[in-house]
Amino acid sequence: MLAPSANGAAFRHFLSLIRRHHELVWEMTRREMLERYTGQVLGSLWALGLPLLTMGIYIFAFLVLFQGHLPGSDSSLGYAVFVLSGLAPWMAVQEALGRGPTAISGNANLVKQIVFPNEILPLRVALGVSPTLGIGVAVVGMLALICGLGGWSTVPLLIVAVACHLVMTAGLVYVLAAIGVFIRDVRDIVTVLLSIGLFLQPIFYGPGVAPRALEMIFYLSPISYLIWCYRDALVYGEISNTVVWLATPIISTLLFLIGYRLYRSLQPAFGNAL
Amino acid sequence: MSGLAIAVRRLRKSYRLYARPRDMLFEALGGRQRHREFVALDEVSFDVAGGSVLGLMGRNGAGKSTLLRIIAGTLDATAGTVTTSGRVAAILELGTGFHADYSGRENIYLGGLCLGLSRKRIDSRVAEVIEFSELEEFIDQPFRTYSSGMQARLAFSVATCVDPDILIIDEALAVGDARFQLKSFDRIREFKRRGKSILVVSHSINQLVSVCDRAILLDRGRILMDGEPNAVGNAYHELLFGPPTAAEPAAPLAGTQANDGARQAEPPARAAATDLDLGEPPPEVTGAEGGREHRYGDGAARIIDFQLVDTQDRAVTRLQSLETYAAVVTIRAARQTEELCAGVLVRNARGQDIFATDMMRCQDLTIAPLMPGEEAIVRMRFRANMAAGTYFFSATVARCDGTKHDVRFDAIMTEVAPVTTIYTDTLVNLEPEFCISDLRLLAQARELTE
Repeated sequence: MLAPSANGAAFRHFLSLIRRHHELVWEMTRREMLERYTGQVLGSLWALGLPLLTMGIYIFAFLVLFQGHLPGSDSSLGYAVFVLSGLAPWMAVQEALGRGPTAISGNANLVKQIVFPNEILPLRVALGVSPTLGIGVAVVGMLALICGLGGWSTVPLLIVAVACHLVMTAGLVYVLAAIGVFIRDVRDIVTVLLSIGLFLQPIFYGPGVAPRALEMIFYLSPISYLIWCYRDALVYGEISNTVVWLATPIISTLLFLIGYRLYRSLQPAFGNAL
Repeated sequence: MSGLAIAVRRLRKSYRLYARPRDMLFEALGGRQRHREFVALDEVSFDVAGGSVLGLMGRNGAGKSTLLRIIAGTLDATAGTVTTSGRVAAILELGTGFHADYSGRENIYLGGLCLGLSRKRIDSRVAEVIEFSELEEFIDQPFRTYSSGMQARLAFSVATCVDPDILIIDEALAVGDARFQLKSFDRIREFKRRGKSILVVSHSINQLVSVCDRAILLDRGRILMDGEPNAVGNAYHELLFGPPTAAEPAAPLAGTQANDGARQAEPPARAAATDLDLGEPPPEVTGAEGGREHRYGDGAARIIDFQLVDTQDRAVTRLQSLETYAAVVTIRAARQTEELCAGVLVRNARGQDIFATDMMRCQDLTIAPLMPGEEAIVRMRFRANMAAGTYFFSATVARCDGTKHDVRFDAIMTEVAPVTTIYTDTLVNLEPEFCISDLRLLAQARELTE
């Protein structure tokens, strides 16, 4: 599974795919972001408005309804920024994984009737969460600046976090999309797992608050690493845990390559199940 | 492009049919076998040369679409290989892979990108695509608002404008209106001229015969025939309208010499509407030709056999325009009859009578009174002056005063093969011949005579 040659081949295949079809990837991703709202009165305004509204609701909730405090701080704003720095990326992950299982099965007509590289379909789902992710991170970043956290110097860290995020979710979406073709139940299973997963990530728990057992789970979930990275970039403004920053890119890349290889191995059989 | 465009070798495709989706999961997890095997394609091998058009014929479920999908690459084969050379563009099934909510224009871009074109190249061709599809007015409307014909037009236009090396078309041609069909065929011919290869599935024998270089007849996943389109078209017609006992040898016609053996391989007499069962009262409707035949009469004399034969007395199912044939009506008396008169009516697929006569009107001929059980065979020789299309032959036998003994309405369905020299969708073949006269010579000749 970790064989360098197989992973290297998968990586090269992916690169050549992108090189040849970057225009199609871009076109499909753009549509993925906007198409959900075509035919609606406000149209693509929803693509920006929905994440903004959601963030507004969460800010209200954690500033006013569930006031919390980080250790050594009086402001509930600090706690809100802390929680949101985990919640905003989680929302993007949730969106991508939730749509992953139908990335192929929901486009059966396209996959069956057109000769084209359908590897692009899961990719566009993973990349299509960009508005959610971008707006979420931007809002949290601004809040952090307001209360004197984070800072412009951490922008490079943020870029690394976002890159790892997209690579990792792409890998996970490839897995879900491939399995979702054959087992339609995956969509509902994922929905359930995602609602549970919200509490199994280091999102709401301040430092040292989570029970011991839960912390073990944090280390097992790849998404936790993303959240820790985001938190470093947005809240602490520095690399607070070097191991996390070293592990995250490796985990992301491996997940991506394994997901992509699984997808490619199941791909020839898609036509039978759709 | 020369050489082989498509090479299919011993292709086999079997589907695993599961009663319930979860059976697939259980079996994958190592349980006992829970599927039923369905063989859609079995030992299919053929080649398509560059610059040729291959037609695929076959009944519903024969495996045509499965074959096209495997060649196009959207479906995997169970065994065997398919090799294609060059860019493949496919129009598979109706509706294609376009997105219903996008406008026609957006779908052109998306379709073009999917087929591997760059945005720049699509930019340079989008006007041509729109023009060819004749959808100028609607091109910015959502695709879902298009009629199925308009959708097929757009799909065809996109697939052919991306300039593929191999074009695969599955029944999309049948949807456009007649005018668009003609344009499509012109484009296919142009493709062929440029050395591209085309694979077409259609249910219209005429369409295929007029455009293909070669045809393959598939039945139950196997190649039944591979060869010249007209011959394959005949075989397909046999398959469609012949009796289920397909392997039966031709019964020699009563009253004629036995087949002279010159072309024994000729298909058996399928177009014949045979009824030797005299004891039964004439049924109102018999199912001889897919339930289309309508039969009535008092039954004093019965048409026990009615078929079309060529000049060598071989039964035929398809006619060539302008060739000579005979309609053979075999009559058997049930009771003592008076003088009899037989007639033939020809109608086209729309039910218009295009020709009718009887022996009395034509030649003042009658059949002498018959004793019970006695038979008479009437032959009407004719030239098939019809243009391509489907035609129905009816036969009657009546008393001279017009009392109908037996009428077999639309008893034979037959097809007239396409005629390349005249336009399609016309009714008759007037045996045209053009010549150009030199007008000056004509004028001089006139002067001389004056």
